[in-house]
Amino acid sequence: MLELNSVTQQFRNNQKETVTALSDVSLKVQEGEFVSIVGPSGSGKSTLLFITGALLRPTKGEVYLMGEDIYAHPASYRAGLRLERIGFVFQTFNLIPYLNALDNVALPAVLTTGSRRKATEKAEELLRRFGLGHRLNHRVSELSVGERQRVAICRSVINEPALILADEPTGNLDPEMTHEVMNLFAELNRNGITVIIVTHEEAVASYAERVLHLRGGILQNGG
Amino acid sequence: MNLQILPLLLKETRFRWVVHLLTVCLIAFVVSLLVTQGSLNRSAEDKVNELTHKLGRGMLVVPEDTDLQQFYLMRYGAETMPEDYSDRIESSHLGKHIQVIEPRLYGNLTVQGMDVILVGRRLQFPVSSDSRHELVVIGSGLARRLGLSSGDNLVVNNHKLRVFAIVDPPPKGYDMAIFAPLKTAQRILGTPGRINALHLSGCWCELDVPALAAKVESILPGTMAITVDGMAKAQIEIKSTMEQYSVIFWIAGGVLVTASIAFLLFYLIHKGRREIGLLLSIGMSPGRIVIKNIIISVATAVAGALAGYILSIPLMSQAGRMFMRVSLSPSAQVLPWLVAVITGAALLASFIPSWYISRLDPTKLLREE
Ligand SMILES: Nc1ncnc2c1ncn2[C@@H]1O[C@H](COP(=O)(O)OP(=O)(O)O)[C@@H](O)[C@H]1O
Ligand SMILES: [Mg+2]
Repeated sequence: MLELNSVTQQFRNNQKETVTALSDVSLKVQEGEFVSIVGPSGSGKSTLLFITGALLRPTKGEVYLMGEDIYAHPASYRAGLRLERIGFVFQTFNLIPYLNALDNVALPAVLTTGSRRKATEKAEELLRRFGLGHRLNHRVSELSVGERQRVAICRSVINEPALILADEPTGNLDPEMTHEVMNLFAELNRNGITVIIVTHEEAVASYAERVLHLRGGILQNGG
Repeated sequence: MNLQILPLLLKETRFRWVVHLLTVCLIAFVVSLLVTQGSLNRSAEDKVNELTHKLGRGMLVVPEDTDLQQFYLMRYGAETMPEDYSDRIESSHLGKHIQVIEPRLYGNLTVQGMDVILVGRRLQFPVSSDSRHELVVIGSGLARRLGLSSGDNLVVNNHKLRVFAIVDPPPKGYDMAIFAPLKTAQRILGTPGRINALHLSGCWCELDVPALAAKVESILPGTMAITVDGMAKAQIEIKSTMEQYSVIFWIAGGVLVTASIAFLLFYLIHKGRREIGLLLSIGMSPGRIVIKNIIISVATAVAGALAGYILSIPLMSQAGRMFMRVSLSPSAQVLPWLVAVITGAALLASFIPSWYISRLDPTKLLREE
Protein backbone atom coordinates (compact mmCIF):
# COMPACT_ATOMS: atom_id res chain seq x y z
CA MET A 1 0.00 0.00 0.00
CA LEU A 2 3.02 2.25 0.54
CA GLU A 3 6.14 2.38 -1.54
CA LEU A 4 9.09 4.75 -1.29
CA ASN A 5 11.29 4.67 -4.35
CA SER A 6 14.91 5.86 -3.91
CA VAL A 7 13.87 8.80 -1.80
CA THR A 8 16.58 11.35 -1.07
CA GLN A 9 16.05 14.48 0.97
CA GLN A 10 18.53 17.30 1.23
CA PHE A 11 18.21 20.50 3.23
CA ARG A 12 20.17 23.68 3.31
CA ASN A 13 21.09 24.51 6.83
CA ASN A 14 21.70 27.99 8.21
CA GLN A 15 25.31 27.96 7.05
CA LYS A 16 24.05 27.31 3.52
CA GLU A 17 25.59 23.84 3.54
CA THR A 18 23.69 20.95 2.06
CA VAL A 19 22.60 18.37 4.63
CA THR A 20 21.46 15.00 3.41
CA ALA A 21 18.70 13.86 5.77
CA LEU A 22 17.75 10.80 3.74
CA SER A 23 19.73 9.15 1.04
CA ASP A 24 18.26 6.75 -1.44
CA VAL A 25 15.67 5.27 0.89
CA SER A 26 13.43 2.60 -0.58
CA LEU A 27 10.71 0.97 1.43
CA LYS A 28 7.63 -1.14 0.85
CA VAL A 29 4.88 -1.52 3.41
CA GLN A 30 1.96 -3.91 2.90
CA GLU A 31 -1.55 -3.08 3.89
CA GLY A 32 -2.21 -3.98 7.54
CA GLU A 33 1.43 -4.03 8.55
CA PHE A 34 2.79 -2.57 11.80
CA VAL A 35 6.24 -1.23 11.05
CA SER A 36 8.64 0.65 13.27
CA ILE A 37 11.70 2.53 12.18
CA VAL A 38 14.39 2.97 14.82
CA GLY A 39 17.25 5.41 14.66
CA PRO A 40 19.14 7.88 16.77
CA SER A 41 18.25 11.54 16.85
CA GLY A 42 19.08 13.29 13.59
CA SER A 43 19.01 10.10 11.57
CA GLY A 44 16.17 11.36 9.39
CA LYS A 45 13.18 9.67 11.02
CA SER A 46 10.90 12.73 11.07
CA THR A 47 11.91 13.63 7.56
CA LEU A 48 11.01 10.14 6.38
CA LEU A 49 7.65 10.40 8.11
CA PHE A 50 6.83 13.81 6.64
CA ILE A 51 7.69 12.60 3.16
CA THR A 52 5.56 9.49 3.64
CA GLY A 53 2.72 11.61 4.99
CA ALA A 54 2.47 13.90 1.93
CA LEU A 55 3.82 16.86 3.90
CA LEU A 56 7.25 17.19 2.31
CA ARG A 57 8.18 16.72 -1.30
CA PRO A 58 11.46 14.75 -1.43
CA THR A 59 14.43 16.14 -3.31
CA LYS A 60 14.54 12.92 -5.32
CA GLY A 61 12.44 9.79 -5.59
CA GLU A 62 8.74 8.96 -5.55
CA VAL A 63 6.22 8.01 -2.94
CA TYR A 64 3.32 5.75 -3.90
CA LEU A 65 0.37 5.53 -1.58
CA MET A 66 -2.24 2.99 -2.65
CA GLY A 67 -0.75 2.98 -6.09
CA GLU A 68 -0.73 6.76 -6.51
CA ASP A 69 2.37 8.86 -6.92
CA ILE A 70 1.35 11.39 -4.29
CA TYR A 71 3.81 14.15 -5.21
CA ALA A 72 2.57 14.09 -8.80
CA HIS A 73 -0.60 15.72 -7.45
CA PRO A 74 -1.10 19.32 -6.39
CA ALA A 75 -0.79 20.43 -2.77
CA SER A 76 -4.56 20.67 -2.31
CA TYR A 77 -4.95 17.03 -3.30
CA ARG A 78 -2.29 16.04 -0.79
CA ALA A 79 -4.12 18.03 1.89
CA GLY A 80 -7.22 15.97 1.14
CA LEU A 81 -5.14 12.82 1.34
CA ARG A 82 -3.88 13.76 4.80
CA LEU A 83 -7.37 14.58 5.91
CA GLU A 84 -8.99 11.36 4.76
CA ARG A 85 -6.39 8.64 4.36
CA ILE A 86 -3.56 9.45 6.78
CA GLY A 87 -3.49 10.03 10.53
CA PHE A 88 -0.58 11.76 12.22
CA VAL A 89 0.60 11.49 15.82
CA PHE A 90 3.56 13.58 16.95
CA GLN A 91 5.75 13.57 20.02
CA THR A 92 4.46 16.89 21.38
CA PHE A 93 2.08 19.61 20.33
CA ASN A 94 -0.50 17.33 18.85
CA LEU A 95 -3.52 19.31 19.95
CA ILE A 96 -4.97 22.75 19.39
CA PRO A 97 -4.60 24.45 22.78
CA TYR A 98 -7.86 26.40 22.67
CA LEU A 99 -10.04 23.40 21.89
CA ASN A 100 -11.12 20.78 24.40
CA ALA A 101 -10.41 17.10 23.94
CA LEU A 102 -13.71 16.49 22.18
CA ASP A 103 -13.30 19.33 19.69
CA ASN A 104 -9.71 18.37 18.98
CA VAL A 105 -10.71 14.84 18.11
CA ALA A 106 -13.73 15.99 16.12
CA LEU A 107 -11.86 18.57 14.04
CA PRO A 108 -10.81 16.35 11.08
CA ALA A 109 -14.32 14.91 10.91
CA VAL A 110 -15.85 18.40 10.95
CA LEU A 111 -13.66 19.26 7.99
CA THR A 112 -14.70 16.19 6.01
CA THR A 113 -18.36 15.73 6.93
CA GLY A 114 -19.21 19.37 7.44
CA SER A 115 -21.42 18.30 10.30
CA ARG A 116 -20.36 19.30 13.75
CA ARG A 117 -22.94 17.11 15.39
CA LYS A 118 -21.94 13.93 13.60
CA ALA A 119 -18.27 14.66 14.13
CA THR A 120 -18.74 15.30 17.82
CA GLU A 121 -20.73 12.12 18.28
CA LYS A 122 -18.02 10.10 16.66
CA ALA A 123 -15.31 11.84 18.64
CA GLU A 124 -17.10 11.14 21.88
CA GLU A 125 -17.47 7.47 21.02
CA LEU A 126 -13.75 7.23 20.26
CA LEU A 127 -12.68 9.02 23.42
CA ARG A 128 -14.91 6.76 25.52
CA ARG A 129 -13.52 3.69 23.84
CA PHE A 130 -9.98 4.84 24.68
CA GLY A 131 -10.83 5.47 28.32
CA LEU A 132 -11.15 9.24 28.11
CA GLY A 133 -14.88 9.56 28.66
CA HIS A 134 -14.27 11.68 31.74
CA ARG A 135 -12.01 14.12 29.88
CA LEU A 136 -14.28 15.17 27.00
CA ASN A 137 -14.55 18.81 27.93
CA HIS A 138 -11.08 19.27 29.32
CA ARG A 139 -8.75 21.78 27.77
CA VAL A 140 -5.41 20.48 26.53
CA SER A 141 -3.64 22.15 29.45
CA GLU A 142 -5.82 20.18 31.86
CA LEU A 143 -4.80 16.80 30.45
CA SER A 144 -1.82 14.70 31.46
CA VAL A 145 0.84 14.01 28.86
CA GLY A 146 -0.37 10.45 28.47
CA GLU A 147 -3.97 11.59 28.05
CA ARG A 148 -2.91 14.10 25.42
CA GLN A 149 -1.22 11.32 23.44
CA ARG A 150 -4.35 9.20 23.62
CA VAL A 151 -6.49 12.15 22.52
CA ALA A 152 -4.08 12.66 19.62
CA ILE A 153 -4.45 9.02 18.65
CA CYS A 154 -8.24 9.38 18.69
CA ARG A 155 -7.91 12.43 16.47
CA SER A 156 -5.66 10.53 14.06
CA VAL A 157 -8.21 7.75 13.56
CA ILE A 158 -11.48 9.65 13.49
CA ASN A 159 -11.60 9.79 9.69
CA GLU A 160 -10.82 6.06 9.51
CA PRO A 161 -7.49 6.45 7.76
CA ALA A 162 -5.70 3.63 5.98
CA LEU A 163 -2.37 4.69 7.41
CA ILE A 164 -1.21 6.05 10.74
CA LEU A 165 2.16 7.74 10.99
CA ALA A 166 3.52 8.34 14.48
CA ASP A 167 6.65 10.35 15.21
CA GLU A 168 8.11 9.38 18.62
CA PRO A 169 4.61 9.10 20.06
CA THR A 170 5.96 7.86 23.39
CA GLY A 171 8.91 10.25 23.61
CA ASN A 172 7.45 12.08 26.60
CA LEU A 173 5.81 9.17 28.37
CA ASP A 174 6.79 7.02 31.31
CA PRO A 175 7.15 3.23 30.72
CA GLU A 176 3.63 2.47 31.90
CA MET A 177 2.01 5.04 29.62
CA THR A 178 4.31 3.96 26.81
CA HIS A 179 3.01 0.44 27.16
CA GLU A 180 -0.58 1.64 27.14
CA VAL A 181 -0.14 3.86 24.09
CA MET A 182 1.76 1.21 22.14
CA ASN A 183 -1.00 -1.26 22.89
CA LEU A 184 -3.46 1.24 21.41
CA PHE A 185 -1.47 1.33 18.19
CA ALA A 186 -1.36 -2.46 18.18
CA GLU A 187 -5.12 -2.56 18.64
CA LEU A 188 -5.68 -0.12 15.79
CA ASN A 189 -3.39 -2.24 13.66
CA ARG A 190 -5.40 -5.36 14.50
CA ASN A 191 -8.44 -3.47 13.23
CA GLY A 192 -6.76 -3.23 9.84
CA ILE A 193 -5.00 0.12 9.90
CA THR A 194 -1.44 0.19 8.63
CA VAL A 195 0.80 1.74 11.31
CA ILE A 196 4.28 3.17 10.92
CA ILE A 197 6.07 4.39 14.03
CA VAL A 198 9.43 6.07 14.19
CA THR A 199 11.32 6.05 17.48
CA HIS A 200 14.79 6.06 18.94
CA GLU A 201 13.89 3.37 21.48
CA GLU A 202 14.35 -0.27 20.55
CA ALA A 203 11.91 -1.27 23.27
CA VAL A 204 9.16 0.81 21.70
CA ALA A 205 10.02 -0.46 18.26
CA SER A 206 9.60 -4.06 19.42
CA TYR A 207 5.82 -3.64 19.59
CA ALA A 208 5.83 -3.70 15.80
CA GLU A 209 5.84 -6.76 13.58
CA ARG A 210 8.70 -5.42 11.52
CA VAL A 211 11.56 -3.26 12.79
CA LEU A 212 13.75 -1.26 10.44
CA HIS A 213 16.85 0.74 11.30
CA LEU A 214 17.71 4.16 10.03
CA ARG A 215 21.20 5.54 10.49
CA GLY A 216 22.53 8.74 8.98
CA GLY A 217 19.69 8.87 6.50
CA ILE A 218 20.29 5.36 5.26
CA LEU A 219 17.78 2.57 5.80
CA GLN A 220 19.80 -0.43 7.02
CA ASN A 221 17.75 -3.53 6.41
CA GLY A 222 15.59 -2.21 3.58
CA GLY A 223 12.04 -3.28 3.09
CA MET B 1 -18.61 24.93 3.63
CA ASN B 2 -16.47 27.45 5.41
CA LEU B 3 -18.96 27.91 8.19
CA GLN B 4 -17.34 24.88 9.80
CA ILE B 5 -14.32 26.94 10.73
CA LEU B 6 -16.39 29.53 12.59
CA PRO B 7 -16.47 27.74 15.97
CA LEU B 8 -12.73 27.19 15.65
CA LEU B 9 -12.34 30.86 14.93
CA LEU B 10 -14.44 31.97 17.88
CA LYS B 11 -12.51 29.73 20.23
CA GLU B 12 -9.21 31.01 18.93
CA THR B 13 -10.40 34.58 19.39
CA ARG B 14 -11.44 33.83 22.95
CA PHE B 15 -8.09 32.17 23.60
CA ARG B 16 -6.12 35.24 22.45
CA TRP B 17 -8.72 37.80 23.46
CA VAL B 18 -6.29 40.37 24.84
CA VAL B 19 -4.65 41.13 21.54
CA HIS B 20 -8.05 41.24 19.82
CA LEU B 21 -9.36 43.65 22.38
CA LEU B 22 -6.30 45.86 22.06
CA THR B 23 -6.66 45.96 18.29
CA VAL B 24 -10.35 46.77 18.49
CA CYS B 25 -9.59 49.58 20.95
CA LEU B 26 -6.87 51.00 18.74
CA ILE B 27 -9.09 50.92 15.67
CA ALA B 28 -11.98 52.38 17.65
CA PHE B 29 -9.77 55.24 18.79
CA VAL B 30 -8.60 56.04 15.26
CA VAL B 31 -12.11 55.72 13.84
CA SER B 32 -13.60 57.99 16.47
CA LEU B 33 -11.04 60.65 15.57
CA LEU B 34 -11.83 60.24 11.88
CA VAL B 35 -15.57 60.47 12.44
CA THR B 36 -15.16 63.49 14.68
CA GLN B 37 -12.92 65.29 12.25
CA GLY B 38 -15.14 64.44 9.31
CA SER B 39 -18.29 65.56 11.09
CA LEU B 40 -16.67 68.76 12.37
CA ASN B 41 -15.70 69.52 8.80
CA ARG B 42 -19.24 69.10 7.64
CA SER B 43 -20.68 71.33 10.29
CA ALA B 44 -18.00 74.00 9.81
CA GLU B 45 -18.94 74.08 6.17
CA ASP B 46 -22.63 74.32 6.99
CA LYS B 47 -21.89 77.13 9.39
CA VAL B 48 -19.97 79.16 6.81
CA ASN B 49 -22.76 78.64 4.31
CA GLU B 50 -25.26 79.87 6.83
CA LEU B 51 -23.20 82.97 7.58
CA THR B 52 -22.78 83.77 3.92
CA HIS B 53 -26.49 83.53 3.61
CA LYS B 54 -26.96 85.83 6.57
CA LEU B 55 -24.60 88.41 5.21
CA GLY B 56 -26.76 88.63 2.10
CA ARG B 57 -26.22 91.88 0.29
CA GLY B 58 -24.63 93.44 3.33
CA MET B 59 -21.04 94.20 4.06
CA LEU B 60 -18.96 93.27 7.08
CA VAL B 61 -16.03 95.45 8.13
CA VAL B 62 -13.52 93.94 10.55
CA PRO B 63 -9.94 94.75 11.65
CA GLU B 64 -7.65 93.58 8.88
CA ASP B 65 -5.79 91.05 11.06
CA THR B 66 -8.98 89.22 11.93
CA ASP B 67 -8.82 85.46 11.39
CA LEU B 68 -12.00 85.17 9.38
CA GLN B 69 -12.25 81.45 9.69
CA GLN B 70 -12.23 81.76 13.46
CA PHE B 71 -14.54 84.77 13.28
CA TYR B 72 -17.11 82.77 11.34
CA LEU B 73 -16.79 80.00 13.89
CA MET B 74 -17.54 82.60 16.60
CA ARG B 75 -14.09 82.55 18.09
CA TYR B 76 -13.10 86.15 18.38
CA GLY B 77 -9.55 87.41 18.52
CA ALA B 78 -8.11 90.50 20.23
CA GLU B 79 -8.13 92.64 17.07
CA THR B 80 -10.25 95.76 17.38
CA MET B 81 -10.85 99.09 15.65
CA PRO B 82 -12.08 102.44 16.92
CA GLU B 83 -15.77 102.71 17.68
CA ASP B 84 -15.94 106.05 15.85
CA TYR B 85 -15.35 104.26 12.56
CA SER B 86 -19.12 103.98 12.35
CA ASP B 87 -19.47 107.78 12.42
CA ARG B 88 -16.58 108.18 10.04
CA ILE B 89 -18.20 106.00 7.40
CA GLU B 90 -21.57 107.66 7.91
CA SER B 91 -20.16 111.15 7.40
CA SER B 92 -18.07 110.11 4.37
CA HIS B 93 -19.23 110.51 0.78
CA LEU B 94 -20.36 106.87 0.88
CA GLY B 95 -22.73 107.63 3.74
CA LYS B 96 -25.66 108.31 1.48
CA HIS B 97 -25.50 104.80 0.00
CA ILE B 98 -25.57 103.11 3.35
CA GLN B 99 -28.81 102.86 5.24
CA VAL B 100 -27.81 100.93 8.32
CA ILE B 101 -24.52 101.03 10.17
CA GLU B 102 -24.18 98.62 13.06
CA PRO B 103 -21.05 98.73 15.22
CA ARG B 104 -20.49 95.49 17.16
CA LEU B 105 -18.10 94.15 19.72
CA TYR B 106 -18.06 90.38 19.85
CA GLY B 107 -16.23 88.41 22.49
CA ASN B 108 -15.96 85.01 24.14
CA LEU B 109 -16.59 84.64 27.84
CA THR B 110 -16.72 81.90 30.38
CA VAL B 111 -19.65 82.20 32.73
CA GLN B 112 -19.84 79.62 35.49
CA GLY B 113 -17.73 77.26 33.43
CA MET B 114 -19.84 77.70 30.30
CA ASP B 115 -18.70 79.21 27.03
CA VAL B 116 -20.76 82.28 26.28
CA ILE B 117 -20.70 84.72 23.40
CA LEU B 118 -20.89 88.37 24.25
CA VAL B 119 -22.46 90.62 21.63
CA GLY B 120 -22.03 94.31 22.23
CA ARG B 121 -24.34 96.37 20.03
CA ARG B 122 -26.46 99.48 20.02
CA LEU B 123 -29.24 98.68 22.45
CA GLN B 124 -31.69 101.05 24.07
CA PHE B 125 -32.95 100.16 27.50
CA PRO B 126 -35.27 102.22 29.70
CA VAL B 127 -33.24 104.08 32.31
CA SER B 128 -32.49 101.68 35.12
CA SER B 129 -33.39 102.59 38.64
CA ASP B 130 -30.51 100.55 39.87
CA SER B 131 -27.30 102.06 38.59
CA ARG B 132 -25.13 99.31 40.01
CA HIS B 133 -26.46 96.74 37.51
CA GLU B 134 -26.15 97.05 33.78
CA LEU B 135 -28.98 95.68 31.71
CA VAL B 136 -28.49 92.86 29.20
CA VAL B 137 -30.54 90.47 27.11
CA ILE B 138 -29.62 86.80 27.13
CA GLY B 139 -30.26 83.79 24.90
CA SER B 140 -32.78 81.26 26.18
CA GLY B 141 -30.17 78.47 26.36
CA LEU B 142 -28.06 80.46 28.75
CA ALA B 143 -31.12 81.44 30.78
CA ARG B 144 -32.08 77.79 31.10
CA ARG B 145 -28.59 76.66 32.04
CA LEU B 146 -28.12 79.37 34.63
CA GLY B 147 -31.70 79.24 35.81
CA LEU B 148 -32.23 82.92 35.10
CA SER B 149 -35.35 84.81 34.25
CA SER B 150 -36.04 88.46 33.56
CA GLY B 151 -35.00 90.70 36.41
CA ASP B 152 -32.41 88.29 37.78
CA ASN B 153 -28.83 89.37 38.34
CA LEU B 154 -25.64 87.75 37.18
CA VAL B 155 -21.98 88.55 37.50
CA VAL B 156 -19.68 88.35 34.49
CA ASN B 157 -15.98 89.18 34.83
CA ASN B 158 -16.78 91.07 38.03
CA HIS B 159 -19.45 93.12 36.30
CA LYS B 160 -22.90 93.10 37.77
CA LEU B 161 -25.52 92.55 35.13
CA ARG B 162 -29.28 92.29 35.24
CA VAL B 163 -31.34 90.28 32.77
CA PHE B 164 -33.73 92.69 31.08
CA ALA B 165 -35.16 90.11 28.74
CA ILE B 166 -34.63 86.62 27.39
CA VAL B 167 -34.55 86.06 23.63
CA ASP B 168 -36.60 82.99 22.93
CA PRO B 169 -36.09 81.60 20.40
CA PRO B 170 -32.63 83.12 20.04
CA PRO B 171 -31.08 83.74 16.62
CA LYS B 172 -29.31 80.60 15.40
CA GLY B 173 -25.93 80.20 17.10
CA TYR B 174 -26.79 82.72 19.82
CA ASP B 175 -28.43 80.34 22.19
CA MET B 176 -25.66 80.93 24.72
CA ALA B 177 -25.20 84.64 24.10
CA ILE B 178 -25.34 87.81 26.15
CA PHE B 179 -26.49 90.86 24.22
CA ALA B 180 -25.29 94.03 25.86
CA PRO B 181 -25.07 97.71 25.01
CA LEU B 182 -21.77 98.52 23.35
CA LYS B 183 -20.47 100.42 26.38
CA THR B 184 -21.24 97.51 28.71
CA ALA B 185 -19.57 95.02 26.38
CA GLN B 186 -16.52 97.23 26.14
CA ARG B 187 -16.28 97.41 29.91
CA ILE B 188 -16.65 93.65 30.29
CA LEU B 189 -14.02 92.93 27.66
CA GLY B 190 -11.76 95.77 28.81
CA THR B 191 -11.69 97.48 25.42
CA PRO B 192 -13.22 100.93 25.91
CA GLY B 193 -13.98 102.77 22.71
CA ARG B 194 -13.24 99.76 20.52
CA ILE B 195 -15.31 97.47 18.34
CA ASN B 196 -14.43 94.48 16.19
CA ALA B 197 -17.15 94.46 13.56
CA LEU B 198 -19.19 96.91 11.59
CA HIS B 199 -22.22 95.61 9.72
CA LEU B 200 -23.23 97.81 6.81
CA SER B 201 -26.29 97.40 4.69
CA GLY B 202 -28.03 99.46 2.15
CA CYS B 203 -28.97 99.59 -1.46
CA TRP B 204 -25.87 99.64 -3.56
CA CYS B 205 -27.49 97.69 -6.30
CA GLU B 206 -26.15 99.98 -8.96
CA LEU B 207 -22.73 100.26 -7.35
CA ASP B 208 -19.64 98.25 -8.14
CA VAL B 209 -19.41 96.21 -4.92
CA PRO B 210 -15.70 95.28 -4.97
CA ALA B 211 -14.90 98.97 -5.66
CA LEU B 212 -17.12 99.99 -2.77
CA ALA B 213 -15.30 97.57 -0.45
CA ALA B 214 -11.98 99.08 -1.49
CA LYS B 215 -13.32 102.58 -0.79
CA VAL B 216 -14.55 101.56 2.65
CA GLU B 217 -11.13 100.13 3.42
CA SER B 218 -9.44 103.38 2.40
CA ILE B 219 -11.75 105.47 4.57
CA LEU B 220 -11.29 103.14 7.53
CA PRO B 221 -7.57 102.32 7.66
CA GLY B 222 -6.55 98.96 9.08
CA THR B 223 -9.81 97.23 8.19
CA MET B 224 -11.06 94.78 5.65
CA ALA B 225 -14.49 94.94 4.13
CA ILE B 226 -16.09 91.63 3.36
CA THR B 227 -18.94 91.11 0.98
CA VAL B 228 -20.68 87.96 -0.12
CA ASP B 229 -18.11 87.79 -2.92
CA GLY B 230 -15.25 87.99 -0.46
CA MET B 231 -16.99 85.58 1.80
CA ALA B 232 -17.39 83.05 -0.96
CA LYS B 233 -13.71 83.34 -1.70
CA ALA B 234 -12.78 82.88 1.96
CA GLN B 235 -15.12 79.95 2.11
CA ILE B 236 -13.45 78.27 -0.82
CA GLU B 237 -10.12 78.78 0.91
CA ILE B 238 -11.36 77.32 4.16
CA LYS B 239 -12.83 74.41 2.32
CA SER B 240 -9.64 73.66 0.46
CA THR B 241 -7.45 73.83 3.57
CA MET B 242 -9.90 71.65 5.41
CA GLU B 243 -9.98 69.22 2.56
CA GLN B 244 -6.21 69.10 2.49
CA TYR B 245 -6.10 68.33 6.17
CA SER B 246 -8.91 65.84 5.82
CA VAL B 247 -7.16 63.90 3.12
CA ILE B 248 -3.96 63.70 5.16
CA PHE B 249 -5.89 62.86 8.29
CA TRP B 250 -7.91 60.13 6.65
CA ILE B 251 -4.92 58.63 4.89
CA ALA B 252 -3.06 58.57 8.19
CA GLY B 253 -6.12 57.00 9.82
CA GLY B 254 -6.41 54.40 7.09
CA VAL B 255 -2.74 53.53 7.42
CA LEU B 256 -3.11 53.19 11.18
CA VAL B 257 -6.15 50.95 10.92
CA THR B 258 -4.43 48.81 8.29
CA ALA B 259 -1.32 48.60 10.44
CA SER B 260 -3.32 47.54 13.51
CA ILE B 261 -5.08 44.77 11.63
CA ALA B 262 -1.84 43.73 9.98
CA PHE B 263 -0.18 43.61 13.37
CA LEU B 264 -3.00 41.54 14.80
CA LEU B 265 -2.82 39.04 11.96
CA PHE B 266 0.94 38.87 12.14
CA TYR B 267 0.78 38.29 15.85
CA LEU B 268 -1.91 35.63 15.56
CA ILE B 269 -0.15 33.73 12.82
CA HIS B 270 3.18 33.99 14.52
CA LYS B 271 1.84 32.92 17.91
CA GLY B 272 -0.25 30.20 16.36
CA ARG B 273 2.25 28.94 13.83
CA ARG B 274 2.55 25.52 15.45
CA GLU B 275 -1.24 25.23 15.44
CA ILE B 276 -1.16 26.15 11.78
CA GLY B 277 1.48 23.45 11.22
CA LEU B 278 -0.77 21.00 13.01
CA LEU B 279 -3.86 22.06 11.06
CA LEU B 280 -1.93 21.67 7.81
CA SER B 281 -0.70 18.23 8.86
CA ILE B 282 -4.20 16.99 9.57
CA GLY B 283 -5.23 18.13 6.13
CA MET B 284 -6.79 21.54 6.56
CA SER B 285 -6.06 23.39 3.36
CA PRO B 286 -3.94 26.54 3.43
CA GLY B 287 -6.83 28.31 1.70
CA ARG B 288 -9.10 27.66 4.66
CA ILE B 289 -6.52 28.91 7.09
CA VAL B 290 -6.18 32.08 5.02
CA ILE B 291 -9.96 32.52 4.95
CA LYS B 292 -10.05 32.03 8.71
CA ASN B 293 -7.59 34.89 9.09
CA ILE B 294 -9.40 37.13 6.62
CA ILE B 295 -12.60 36.64 8.60
CA ILE B 296 -10.70 37.60 11.74
CA SER B 297 -9.34 40.77 10.15
CA VAL B 298 -12.67 41.88 8.72
CA ALA B 299 -14.51 41.14 11.97
CA THR B 300 -11.95 43.04 14.00
CA ALA B 301 -12.09 45.98 11.65
CA VAL B 302 -15.88 46.10 11.75
CA ALA B 303 -15.95 45.76 15.54
CA GLY B 304 -13.38 48.54 15.83
CA ALA B 305 -15.30 50.77 13.45
CA LEU B 306 -18.58 50.27 15.30
CA ALA B 307 -16.95 50.90 18.65
CA GLY B 308 -15.23 53.96 17.20
CA TYR B 309 -18.47 55.37 15.82
CA ILE B 310 -20.16 54.93 19.18
CA LEU B 311 -17.15 56.46 20.94
CA SER B 312 -17.28 59.44 18.60
CA ILE B 313 -20.73 60.45 19.88
CA PRO B 314 -19.50 61.83 23.22
CA LEU B 315 -16.28 62.97 21.56
CA MET B 316 -18.24 64.94 18.97
CA SER B 317 -20.40 66.69 21.47
CA GLN B 318 -17.27 67.65 23.42
CA ALA B 319 -15.39 68.81 20.32
CA GLY B 320 -18.45 70.65 19.05
CA ARG B 321 -18.71 72.57 22.30
CA MET B 322 -15.01 73.31 22.25
CA PHE B 323 -14.68 74.47 18.66
CA MET B 324 -18.12 75.61 17.61
CA ARG B 325 -20.14 76.23 20.71
CA VAL B 326 -22.78 73.78 19.63
CA SER B 327 -23.37 70.17 20.50
CA LEU B 328 -22.66 68.07 17.46
CA SER B 329 -23.36 64.47 16.63
CA PRO B 330 -21.54 62.28 14.12
CA SER B 331 -22.51 63.13 10.58
CA ALA B 332 -24.00 60.29 8.58
CA GLN B 333 -22.12 61.63 5.59
CA VAL B 334 -18.93 60.31 7.12
CA LEU B 335 -20.21 56.74 7.02
CA PRO B 336 -19.46 55.87 3.38
CA TRP B 337 -15.91 57.13 3.84
CA LEU B 338 -15.55 55.15 7.00
CA VAL B 339 -16.84 51.97 5.39
CA ALA B 340 -14.41 52.52 2.50
CA VAL B 341 -11.42 53.02 4.81
CA ILE B 342 -12.27 50.03 6.99
CA THR B 343 -12.97 47.65 4.13
CA GLY B 344 -9.84 48.77 2.35
CA ALA B 345 -7.75 48.34 5.46
CA ALA B 346 -9.17 44.91 6.23
CA LEU B 347 -8.64 43.67 2.70
CA LEU B 348 -5.17 45.16 2.45
CA ALA B 349 -4.21 43.59 5.74
CA SER B 350 -5.59 40.20 4.71
CA PHE B 351 -2.86 39.84 2.15
CA ILE B 352 -0.55 39.25 5.06
CA PRO B 353 -1.92 35.86 6.13
CA SER B 354 -2.09 34.66 2.55
CA TRP B 355 1.50 35.68 2.04
CA TYR B 356 2.76 34.48 5.39
CA ILE B 357 0.95 31.15 5.37
CA SER B 358 2.06 30.33 1.84
CA ARG B 359 5.59 30.72 3.19
CA LEU B 360 5.16 28.46 6.19
CA ASP B 361 6.67 25.01 6.00
CA PRO B 362 4.53 22.72 8.16
CA THR B 363 7.38 20.30 8.66
CA LYS B 364 9.51 23.04 10.17
CA LEU B 365 6.66 24.10 12.43
CA LEU B 366 6.08 20.54 13.56
CA ARG B 367 9.78 20.05 14.28
CA GLU B 368 9.89 23.06 16.62
CA GLU B 369 10.21 21.99 20.22
N1 LIG C 1 14.11 22.04 7.44
C1 LIG C 1 15.37 21.64 7.65
N2 LIG C 1 16.40 22.43 7.31
C2 LIG C 1 17.67 22.01 7.50
N3 LIG C 1 17.99 20.85 8.02
C3 LIG C 1 17.03 20.00 8.39
C4 LIG C 1 15.66 20.37 8.21
N4 LIG C 1 14.91 19.33 8.65
C5 LIG C 1 15.77 18.39 9.08
N5 LIG C 1 17.04 18.79 8.93
C6 LIG C 1 18.22 17.98 9.24
O1 LIG C 1 18.05 16.70 8.70
C7 LIG C 1 18.53 15.72 9.59
C8 LIG C 1 17.43 14.74 9.94
O2 LIG C 1 16.46 15.38 10.72
P1 LIG C 1 15.18 14.64 11.31
O3 LIG C 1 14.45 14.02 10.18
O4 LIG C 1 14.44 15.61 12.14
O5 LIG C 1 15.83 13.53 12.22
P2 LIG C 1 15.19 12.72 13.45
O6 LIG C 1 13.73 12.91 13.39
O7 LIG C 1 15.64 11.33 13.23
O8 LIG C 1 15.79 13.31 14.69
C9 LIG C 1 19.08 16.46 10.80
O9 LIG C 1 20.46 16.60 10.63
C10 LIG C 1 18.40 17.78 10.72
O10 LIG C 1 19.21 18.76 11.28
MG1 LIG D 1 12.37 13.66 14.82
